[in-house]
Amino acid sequence: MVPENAGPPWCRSCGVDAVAGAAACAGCGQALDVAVAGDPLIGIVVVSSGRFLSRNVIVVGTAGDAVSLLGRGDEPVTVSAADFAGMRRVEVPAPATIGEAGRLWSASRAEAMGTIKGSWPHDRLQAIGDEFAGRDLSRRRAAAVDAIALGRQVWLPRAGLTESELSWYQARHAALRGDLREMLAWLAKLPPDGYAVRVALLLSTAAGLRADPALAALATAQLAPFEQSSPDARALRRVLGRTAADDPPAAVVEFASTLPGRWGAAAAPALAGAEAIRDRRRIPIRPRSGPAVRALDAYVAGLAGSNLNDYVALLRDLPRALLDDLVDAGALTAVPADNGIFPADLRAYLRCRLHPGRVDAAELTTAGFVAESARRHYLARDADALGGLDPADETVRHYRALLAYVRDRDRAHVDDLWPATRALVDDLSAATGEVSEQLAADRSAWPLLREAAVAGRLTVSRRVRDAHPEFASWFDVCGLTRLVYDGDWAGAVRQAGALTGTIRDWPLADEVASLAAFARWQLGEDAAALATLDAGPDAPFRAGMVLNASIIAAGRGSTDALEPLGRLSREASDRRVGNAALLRAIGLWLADDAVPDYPAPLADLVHARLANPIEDDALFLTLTKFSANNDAAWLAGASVHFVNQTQAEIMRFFQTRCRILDENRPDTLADLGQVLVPIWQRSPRPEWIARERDWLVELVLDLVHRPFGEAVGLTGVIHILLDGGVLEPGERYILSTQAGAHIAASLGDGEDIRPEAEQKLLFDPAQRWLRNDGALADPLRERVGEELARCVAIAAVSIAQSQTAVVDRLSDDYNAVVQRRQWDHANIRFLQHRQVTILDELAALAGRLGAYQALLGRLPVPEDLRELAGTVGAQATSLANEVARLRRDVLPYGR
Amino acid sequence: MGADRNPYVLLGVPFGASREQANVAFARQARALRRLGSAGRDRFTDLTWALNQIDEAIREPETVLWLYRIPFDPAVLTASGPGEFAPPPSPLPRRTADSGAALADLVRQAATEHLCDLVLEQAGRTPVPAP
Ligand SMILES: [Zn+2]
Repeated sequence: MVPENAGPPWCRSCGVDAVAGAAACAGCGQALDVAVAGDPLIGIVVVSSGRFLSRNVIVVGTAGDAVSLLGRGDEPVTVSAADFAGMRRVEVPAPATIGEAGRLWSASRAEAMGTIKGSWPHDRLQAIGDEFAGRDLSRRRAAAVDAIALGRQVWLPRAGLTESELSWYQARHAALRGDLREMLAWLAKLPPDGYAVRVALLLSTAAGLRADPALAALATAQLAPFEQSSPDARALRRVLGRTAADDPPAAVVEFASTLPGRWGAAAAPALAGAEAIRDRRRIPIRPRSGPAVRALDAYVAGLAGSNLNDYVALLRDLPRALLDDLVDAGALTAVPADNGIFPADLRAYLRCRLHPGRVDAAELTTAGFVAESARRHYLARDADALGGLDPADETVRHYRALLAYVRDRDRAHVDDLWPATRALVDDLSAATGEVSEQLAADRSAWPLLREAAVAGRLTVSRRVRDAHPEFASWFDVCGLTRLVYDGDWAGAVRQAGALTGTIRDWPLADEVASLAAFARWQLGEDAAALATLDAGPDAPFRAGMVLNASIIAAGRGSTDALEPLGRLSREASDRRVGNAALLRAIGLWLADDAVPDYPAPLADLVHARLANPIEDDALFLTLTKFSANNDAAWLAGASVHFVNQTQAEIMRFFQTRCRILDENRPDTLADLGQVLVPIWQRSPRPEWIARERDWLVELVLDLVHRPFGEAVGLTGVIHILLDGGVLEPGERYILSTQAGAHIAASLGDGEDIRPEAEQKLLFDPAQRWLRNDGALADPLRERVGEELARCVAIAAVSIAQSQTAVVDRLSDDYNAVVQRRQWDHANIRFLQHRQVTILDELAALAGRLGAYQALLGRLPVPEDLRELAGTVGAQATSLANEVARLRRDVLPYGR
Repeated sequence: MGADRNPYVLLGVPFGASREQANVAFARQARALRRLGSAGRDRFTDLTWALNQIDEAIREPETVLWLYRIPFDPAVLTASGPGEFAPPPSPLPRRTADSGAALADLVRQAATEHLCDLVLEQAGRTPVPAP
């Protein structure tokens, strides 16, 4: 179909604009006819139903009520319009075309490509199409456009059109295909100032042109001749050429002014936006509005009073000067440290401008804000840091001079001070003793006056008192302090009474109470002093007041001090003070003979402290050990917070220690030994473990000294202590031989001690003692030897006793074998072997007893055991003799 | 003051005062005592003890819990408000000059953006012209 031909007429042949209503071009004389669609039926393909089969035919002519259809054969057949209307139409797949020739060529082309079937002769249809194409100027123009669309370039010379007209159609076709490079190449062939229609063509492809700078440059050149006459050409040139040399605000208003006729209502905000930009007013933001438009709108809004803290993303690219405007206007009041919008240096600059007190040192450096660095170093009394700042900066010199004065009353550099400060310093230095109005008015100057005020070297006039009542109060508290320092307790109580009620500000009101309480305490009025402090459990917590109360209360006994100390322990913001308070509460109770039982409130404090992380291992140990000693039942089952391996170990040890004392728990001394050994073996060895080792070893030594055979249960822990290298030489001798003796004494008839245990617990220690390796000095070695000998003797006697049953059994076995040999000659060799085996066993036992006999012969066996020990020797000798005799009987049978 | 002797109160210095402060206070009081002769001897012994306590016995005053604190809180000694000797922070002054040129620049950028926006929208509304 034909695109609408809107707008004024123009000449396709030469490209000049024509006068409305003219028939021919004033420039070239060519007619102004435009391409036409012609007869709309020509070129329509329909289905013709024959007797046997149907075929596709095409309309090639119309005349009155008749329609000519070309099918088989060179001549068309004619049907009535009514018959034609009943035929089914066939869609021809082809590019869009305009005229009759274009439709005929399209069908021919589709048939040749096989996309439809056609019954007509190919050449005949082409000829008919060419004939239509050439009929008149309008049809030639339509055919030229269609030939280009269909790729039928060969026909173009027959169109009889100018080169430039064909180029325009080519350019248009390239634009429709999206080939902008080719479009521009064809446009370049046109007369430069003709074919103004190209402005619309370039505008329709603006997005594509703008995306490619090379194309944009070519298009910009194409637009130049139309800049004067066409607002679109001007606007498009600015957008494509990015020519910013002119006046963009005026340009956008000019272009936007052309829109109402084209966009209707949608043009209003576009035009309003353009005018707002030009006039620097709030801008109606459109979905595609760019960052500069949004930033400008935000800036304008900020200056008009909007707060932009939550909209800093819009300000990302704003120049620093404009951000400064917003800061000065109060539109930007906070930039958080984690703001990720601004680069670090700009963020630091803005934060220093907005809230210098909240900026960190690194940001001060980034922003180069020396004055604030100097102020902070001054407040921190850091002369070194101040010395590191640039002395050329007058702020730096001011704070250096001020610090020198404040710290050392050094007036050498007072000329560097700012005038107002300098005046106060001069007042402070004046020796009159009369406080000036300016000093009384400046709270930061009061601490500098304190020493002189407390010493009574200052006076305050009535006038200054009346003008500055808060200073007067502060000054009176200094006077009260002087009475306390002078020891005038009654005077202090009186003066405090006069001040109470007139001073309400913290901390001075509390200071008056604290000073009064001190004076009353000195007067012996403890209860009144505590009441004056008002630091009881229901009063708001002030660490210093509660601490002072605890000191007065401590004089009345550990129980009285427990409440304030407990409060400090729980509530003091300084963790060190809290810990010290808890330790003091513990110390006061331990020193207080009037309170024998562990007070429950103190236990609660300790429990609460251990339930929270304790950084200090020494404090952790103290509290754990203290609890183990005084609160074992609790610690045995407590769930305690520990922060490192050392504390975990401490807790494990003391908890086990508490658990072995609890009859309801399965933990034994051996378990405690298992916990102790790895701690003991650690390098470096923790100091605290030595006392715990002593405690455990003494406990085991204590428990082991009971009737032999009753302390077998201790052999487990003794083995662990021996193997862990925990014991001193003397302890090793005693505990090992005691363990051996207890095991031996507990043996029933026929039972025996394990050989390796016998070796480790009895023979090895006895032999080592006899070798005397020098590890024990003499009086101790003697004592140890005596006990060791007693244990070995008891063990030897006990083993000899328990083995009697074994000897009896072996003797019975032996006699039975001898009986059997009388008649069982078939098994004589086996029986003989059995005899030898029994004798070997008896010989071994005789050997063991002999070894004991030998050992006891060299050990200092106590008097009371010597006779009993002798029986072991006798038993060994007789058994050995018997075995020797029987062996002689066995041998004659040979082997 | 017996068992509750307080070295800071004896010397007349605030709780937690430094050795230097204690030394200065000691020197001043000792000078005054010398004029009293033998009458001031006990007092001198007290002062010597107090100085020694502050010099040697008290390592970390903050954690000392057996001495009554005068003042009860260090806040009594510090400035209770801003002033020449405790100046509040003041903002960094602006470092940029007049913003007129920057604003004109921004307006030009915004206008160019807006023009581009409008032209591209008009382009979207413009068909390829008729032949
Ligand atoms: Zn012409």
